[in-house]
Parts: sequence; structure tokens; C-alpha cells
Amino acid sequence: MNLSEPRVVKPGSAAEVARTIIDARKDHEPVFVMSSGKKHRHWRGPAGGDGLVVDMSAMARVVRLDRRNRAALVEPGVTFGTFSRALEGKGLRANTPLAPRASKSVLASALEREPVIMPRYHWDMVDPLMSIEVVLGTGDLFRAGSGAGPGSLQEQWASGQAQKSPMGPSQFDPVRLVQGSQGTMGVVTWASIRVEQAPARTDYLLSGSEDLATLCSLVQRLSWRRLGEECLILNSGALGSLLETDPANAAALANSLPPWVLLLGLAGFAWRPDERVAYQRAEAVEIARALGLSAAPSLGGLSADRVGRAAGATSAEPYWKDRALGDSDEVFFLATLDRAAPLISVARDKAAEAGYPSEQAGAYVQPLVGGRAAHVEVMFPHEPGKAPLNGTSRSLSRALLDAGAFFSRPYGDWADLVWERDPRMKRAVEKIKGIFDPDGIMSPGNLGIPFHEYGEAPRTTGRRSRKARD
Amino acid sequence: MTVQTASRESAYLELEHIVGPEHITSSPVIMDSYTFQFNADNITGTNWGPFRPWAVILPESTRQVQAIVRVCNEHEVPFKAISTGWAIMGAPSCEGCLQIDLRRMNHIIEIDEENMYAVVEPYVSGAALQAEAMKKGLNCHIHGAGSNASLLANATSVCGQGNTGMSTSHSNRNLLGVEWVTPTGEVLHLGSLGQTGRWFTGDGPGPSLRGAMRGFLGAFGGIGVFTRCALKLYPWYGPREPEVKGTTPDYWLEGLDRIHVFQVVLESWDSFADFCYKLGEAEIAMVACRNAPVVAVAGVVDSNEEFVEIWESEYFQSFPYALSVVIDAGSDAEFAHRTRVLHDIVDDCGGLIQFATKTRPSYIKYQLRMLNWLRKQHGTVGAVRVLYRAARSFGKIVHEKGMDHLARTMAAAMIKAHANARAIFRFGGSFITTFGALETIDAAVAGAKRGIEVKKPYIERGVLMDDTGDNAWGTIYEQGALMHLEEVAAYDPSDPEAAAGATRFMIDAIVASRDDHIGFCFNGFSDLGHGLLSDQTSGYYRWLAALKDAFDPAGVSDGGYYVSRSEEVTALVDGLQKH
Repeated sequence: MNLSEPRVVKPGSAAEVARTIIDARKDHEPVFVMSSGKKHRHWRGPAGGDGLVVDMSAMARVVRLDRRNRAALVEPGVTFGTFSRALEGKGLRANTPLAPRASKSVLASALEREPVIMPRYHWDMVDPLMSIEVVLGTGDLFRAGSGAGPGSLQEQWASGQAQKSPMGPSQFDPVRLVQGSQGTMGVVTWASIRVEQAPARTDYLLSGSEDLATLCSLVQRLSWRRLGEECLILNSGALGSLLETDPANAAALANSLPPWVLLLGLAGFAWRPDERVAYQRAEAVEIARALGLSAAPSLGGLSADRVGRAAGATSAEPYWKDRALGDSDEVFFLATLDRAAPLISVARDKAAEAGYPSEQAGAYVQPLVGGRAAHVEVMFPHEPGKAPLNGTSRSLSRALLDAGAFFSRPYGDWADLVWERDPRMKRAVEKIKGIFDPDGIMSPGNLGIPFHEYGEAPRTTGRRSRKARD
Repeated sequence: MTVQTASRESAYLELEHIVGPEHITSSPVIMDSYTFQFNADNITGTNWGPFRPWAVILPESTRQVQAIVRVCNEHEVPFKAISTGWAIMGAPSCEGCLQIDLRRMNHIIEIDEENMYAVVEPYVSGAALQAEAMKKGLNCHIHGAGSNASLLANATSVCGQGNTGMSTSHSNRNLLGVEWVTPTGEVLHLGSLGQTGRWFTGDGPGPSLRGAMRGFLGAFGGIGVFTRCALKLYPWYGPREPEVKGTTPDYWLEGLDRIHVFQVVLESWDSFADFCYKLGEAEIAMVACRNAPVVAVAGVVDSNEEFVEIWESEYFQSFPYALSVVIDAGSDAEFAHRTRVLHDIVDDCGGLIQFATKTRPSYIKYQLRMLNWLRKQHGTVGAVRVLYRAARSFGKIVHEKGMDHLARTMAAAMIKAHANARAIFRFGGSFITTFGALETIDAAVAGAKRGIEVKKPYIERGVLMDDTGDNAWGTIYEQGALMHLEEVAAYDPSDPEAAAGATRFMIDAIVASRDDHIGFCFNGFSDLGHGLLSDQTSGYYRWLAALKDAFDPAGVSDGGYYVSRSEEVTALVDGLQKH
């Protein structure tokens, strides 16, 4: 038997998750969570095989779809593939990340604050996550958001509620404390997800530019006019990879495009959809023109509809970020739109210093919170097994931090960098951790918080310790 | 100076050293002014709260606030921050408390026009920021307390429901970067502020500490002091410097060419809810605010005598399912589209437009529909009587001021949020509010219906004002994603029986919203609220108390309207279980 393989459990209910956590707590055994049975790109599991993996893929029900209230309640194992099928024909659509993997957990994506492609419906960074049920590191089952109650879910549904608010209960927002914690607070067993009405009609426009800053200005002006549903910017290389599975075709497409391309979706709903799309389209075109840009249903030979469909659908395999060379590393952070272009330049320059061909890097700018912030991502495609930045990724991240990038989702080494810069915030997060996971068993090592900082050191000879048992 | 102990005397001197002698006092007459707050009567039966501050201090900077909080920790002096103040929750809830009055921190630090946010200090009012933001084509969310109240206080520490929620969300969800002096005196910079010095987001790194500082409700000063915050701004399609015309209490804004108000009336709660859902999905409205008839009338009259005259006509009470809809547009084409869609939805829901800015809804179908509803409620003779009385009372105002005047003052009241408080305080001098969960439209309507049932017995006993029972005020948020309707009750705070009755009504309302599972009500704060609600709300009480323990180990941030520390909570819960 391979001792480096961690023990895996697949609970079928919240009660089973709670029992698992309580047992692990007794044994001081580290617990790591996997939502859809696949490893998340930044998932950090047991080091050296010691620890327990809770695989939530058996809890995969879309518990409830509520068209009237535009809400869905899902378990962790629900993937974007199954979710999009569940929404079909129901008059609803999800505000998803850009072409997510079909196997990616909807709940995990929301918990990780992954960027979504329709910033107008992204009112707050917590969106589209609403309420949750979580088994905390103490083993307690707890509900947060308006779904906390009073009453059970069934009793709340009976009075017309739909677990629509992430606020509360009462005078704190535990949803926000669990979200973004990289599994270090507990195991979420269901979440209500904000979904949007499916449009009666959508027109897509593309706008290309040599200059990212100009496209970012366009997004800011469109945001002020509240125009557009899907709204995002890709560089030509990333757009080629998004649309073409074959690397050669992707490269050819990229070469035919301007360096930067904006996708804008304009939707009409139940009431006078054509009229709505018509005036919005005329205004979007005019706003682009004022910046010396065009916004049109096609760019060169590329149809905007094709880009729009690809952006909102799940990615075919191989995953679009990995298509160019088989694998990809990325650096991502938040910034305001006006800072996206200079920060991407910093990343590319640092990569070039490390010998990475900067023209090969992909880039993605996703406006968030109605255009008040942006997820900025630079991708470094590489052949599997090769480190694209020759061990300089930490200095690249540090350079970005120095230039004003905000690493709001600090995975891996980024956590050390951000806590180094603001140790007070780390101490504050540790206070929260001390409440919800006093023994520090949940996902140790993630969020820059090693196991030993809480409670006793891990017992390798515990009752359920793999090494002892074997 | 009044000090009880040597430590207190020493604390006072240290505090005086921080801000200078002109910015600290313990003069009894000044202390009394800080405890003179509305809703104090619900606790003491008087206009004064139960505890006069030990001293009041006026810092001018975050650094000073931090130093003050550290002195409080060192000398075990409880402290309570206040900015513009609103109700007894701003006053101390314990003996010997230092009131930190933030009125000198009154600056708009920054308006980032391109990225649509503003950074403000605690004493910046809604009116102040709105006026500056409008100059840049932007607007801010102003909470129901009114445009004279602190934006920061609502976003960080109180509630946040407001007229324009349809397009500007809720104060909780408008918060970006935050500067927080914790109860131990540490300064935390939430979100991007800590790493970049910029304010564009308040979440992260990692988990968002916005979740520790407030929830559906704020901590009312129980978890430190918030000294600066960034708030989202929204597009403003009106004039950059709108001219305010009129005299108190009737104001209106000139130049709202593409911002119009429509008073829409539906026939039942069910059709009201359907209309709200459809309006949200159409994404056409800047405001969708529900005022009950009693407040609608109060909003259009200049005196209580006029109010009585119109109220007795029973005209407005005959149309209770009303929604004030403001449509804004950035272009003529958008305005035309939005107006057409509004009419489509009104027709689809069988509603009518009672009045509107600049357009006179003289449509025969609306008039006939209105007459039919009156006849159904009052019979033919009764309907004629209502119309006759309405013509004599309301008609007089319309004749003097014009229907358009009513619409344009309503539009200004919605946008500037200056009329809500005026309307509700005028009846008896105070009010109490209950229910008000922030959830779906259907749940908000369920709460409004239940609120009427709970309130009526108190009206029959003469404790609360007779407003028919229905005084549900609320708004839709985020284009239909959420709604709240709170059941407001006006009463006379100088009447001890009324004050005590209002408190009992509030407790009955908490219990009703809990037992009928219609959402987490407005009053679910402090140990009283937690004690009534926690057991059926996932047992949140102990987690909240643990949060208080973690951030305020010395228990110095006055938590009387927040939560007690864990050991006290345990004792309280044990006590409740015994009873």
C-alpha cells in the first residue's frame, strides 16, 4: 500500500460530514476538502499523505431551483456541467467564471470568489454566493446568510424565502468569513447561488484595440451607462485558446486579431427585448466610437456570437488555459481597471527577465462589482512538467504587489507575501480561525496558516492515523 | 470634572492629552444631551437613555481614535462611538462609558470618478456626499434614516435599507475598503487598502473581515470604531448641480428631464408582489419604494391638520398596495423604452398609475379601474362619498400645488431621502419599527401582512397610532433580488403606557416573525433579540459572542446593543432555559 496516499472519505450528508470532522478533531487529524472529486488548480492537500481528504462529490444534488426568486440551492458536488443542464429550460442562467471546467464545482467556485463574467449582476464581491450550511472545524453544523433562519429550509420556503441574502444572521456575516478561507474554517454542505433570468435575446459585440488601457476606459464608460451583461477583455492569445482546441488553429486565430479584444453581451428580457437591445447597442457603439474604437458583431472574421457562447459555456477538454502548450501557470489579482494595463506589463516584464517569451503569455481582465474593480490574470502556458518562470514566480508576485496588485485570494506562496505586508490582517484572520477551527485541523497549510499554529502538533500515531493503521 | 476613581482621573488626563482640553468634557449638561435619543423611552419610559456618558471626547483622526481606544483598554473604560446619531443605540448602554463623538471627522477623502467609489469619514452625511458625487455624474445609496445621517455609520455599524435600493443596493453591500480601529486599538485595513493603499474592495486577503465587523445588522458600536470607509457610487443621469427649489417641507429638484416618478397602485398584495417581481426583471427602475397610505399622506401635506382632513376621506386607505417607482435613463431612447415597459407591466398586473411627473395619467382605463376598486370596497354610495371627501381635502392641495408638484416633490424625497423621517416623526414624536427581513419579495409581503395582524391589538388598545395597521415601508433591492418591508408604528413617547406598549409590540413582532419563519427581523440585535431568535436561527448567539471575545478581550467596546461576552451569554441562555 502506498503510504503517501491520504485517506479519502465520501460523505453522503451533512451529518456524515459532521461525524467525520468530530472524529478528526478527536484524533487531531488534518482535514482537506475536495468538492467535485477533482483537484482544484490551487488545491493544496495533505503533505506527505498524512491527513484526511473529504471528497464531497457524492453530495451532488441541485436541491432547489427557484425561477421566481432567481435562486438555486446546490450541494458541493454539483459541477458547472450539471448545473448548466439543470438550468436549461427553466428561464435561468448562471453568472459563471469564464468557460469553467465542466467538472468544476459550482459551490467551490463561489466559495473561492472566482470572477464571474457578468459584472452588472456582481453587486458585491460575495456574489453569486448567498447562504451556506457549513460544518465548522469544531464539528458544529451551522447555517449562515438569510438561510440561517428562523426555521428550517422547508419552513423558510413555505413563507416565500429562497435563502437570497448573504447577510447575517444578525450582527455578523459568517458567509464572508467562510468564503475565501480556502477550506480552513469548515466544510460547506450546501450553498444558495444567485442566478439570473435567461434573456429573450442577446446580441454580442466585439471591440479590438492595440491598447488595453483604451479598452479598460471603454469598460468604465459602459459601466457608468449600465450597458452590457457579459463584459470581459482577453488578449488575442488567450482568446485563441478559448475558442480553438487545436493549438495551431488557436495561434492562427490569435494572429488574425488585434492584441486586445473586449466582449460585450447585450440582452433583452421579457419586456420589449428588441427595443432594449437596439438602444443599448446603438449607445455602446457610440461610446466605443468616442474612444476611437469600433464595437461590432464581428472582428475580422471572428463572430462575436461565437465568443459569447464560448465565454458562457463550460470549457471543452483540454481546459482552455492549458491548450497552447499542455499546461499553464497563472498569476491573478485584483486592481482597478485603470491599473490593469500597467500591472500586466509588470508581470510580462518580470516573466521576460526570467526568460519566458512574453508574447506567449495570455491575459484576461474581468471587470467585477459593476466595473469598480477587475480580476486581472496573466497566464504562462508551458509544457507539462516544466516551470515556465524558472523559479522566479515569487519575485514576480512581489513585483506585482509593489506595483499595487491586490492578492485577494492568496494561494500558496502568495499568502506569505500578503501576510508579510500586512501581519495585522493575518492576526485578525487567525482570530476567526481560532473560533471556527480551534484545533487547526481544517486544511492546514492553506492560507499561509500551518497546522502547528493551532492546538497541539499533529499526532502521526493517532487512532485514525494512516501510518499507524497500516 | 466628575471622576470616581484615581484610574478614571488618570484616564481622563491621558485622553485630554490626546485631543486637547477643548475636545473632551464630562460636564453633566453635555452628557445629558448625548443620552437624549429617540427610542430611549422604550427602555426608561423617558426621553433619556439609562446611562449618561462618563465623558465625551472628540477625536479628529484615526491616530487619535486609536490612542483613545488604547487608553480605554488600559484603564478598563468602556467606550461607544457615535457620529450623526440615530436612536438610543448610539448612546451608552452601560455606566461609566466614554462617548467617542466623531463629528470632527467629517471629510470626503476622495471621490474616484472613474472607478465609481468615494472614501468618507464618519461624519459625512448622505446629503454632503450626494451633492459632491452628483457634480461628477454619480450618486450614492442613502439609507432610510435620511440624508442628514452618517453614511459610514450605516454602512459599517447599523442597517442600510434605503429608497434607491433598487439601483443602489443596501449599505452592507456598498462597502468597499474599511479602516477599523478594533476594540483593542489595532488599526485594520480591510481589503485592498491593507496591501495597496487603495480602497476599491473590502474583501480579503482570504476570508473577508467585513463578515466580522457587521452582518444584516451592524454591531452598533460594539466592536470598535470605524474611522474611514469606501462606498460604491452609482450613475446619476440628472443635472450635475440640480437646483433645489421650494420651501420646507416641500422641495423639488429642477432639471430631472429623464428622471420621473410614477405612483403605481395594485389591487391586492398578490398583484403587488407580481408587479414587484416583473419590475425587477425589467431592470428599468432607479427606485421602487413602498409607502403605506399613512406615510404617503404625511408626505404630501404641510400640517397635521391637513393630514387629518385627507386621512378621514379614506381615499388613500382605499389604495394601499402602492409603489413609488422612479425611472431614470441615460438617454432619450432608454427613457422611452423604460416608460413604455413600465406601462406594459402596470397593465399586465391590472394596476394603475395614480400620478406621475410631467405626464398626467388621465387614461380612462386607470380612472375606471380606480372607480371600480372604490366601488368594490365601499359600495357605490360609499365610493361617491370617498371621492367627494377626497375632492374637498386632497383636491384642495392638488388645486393649490398641482398634481405635478406632488410628483416632483415625491421624486426629490425618494432621491434625496429627506422626507422619510419627517413623515414618521410628525404623528406622535417617535416610532418603532419591526419585521423588515431582507429576503425575497414574497417574504417581504408575508411580513407586511403579519405585521398588520400583530399591530392591530395595540391600536385597539389606544397604545399605537391608528394607521389601519398597515404602515409597511420598504424597498426593492438590486432589481428584484431582495426586498424588505418593515412594519412601522408611530406613538407618543411622552405617554409611558404608549412607550411600554411600543416595546411590547416589538417583542410580539420578533416572536411572530420567528414563529412564522418570515425572515430575520430588524430587531434581532442585543442579548434580547439574540435570546428570542438564536435557537431557531442556527444557534448563532454563541458564535457571535465568541467573535466579541476574540476581538474585544477586555470587553471595553460597549456591546449593549450588540452581544455580551461568551460567559455572560452562557449565563443568560441558562437563565432563559430555566424560565
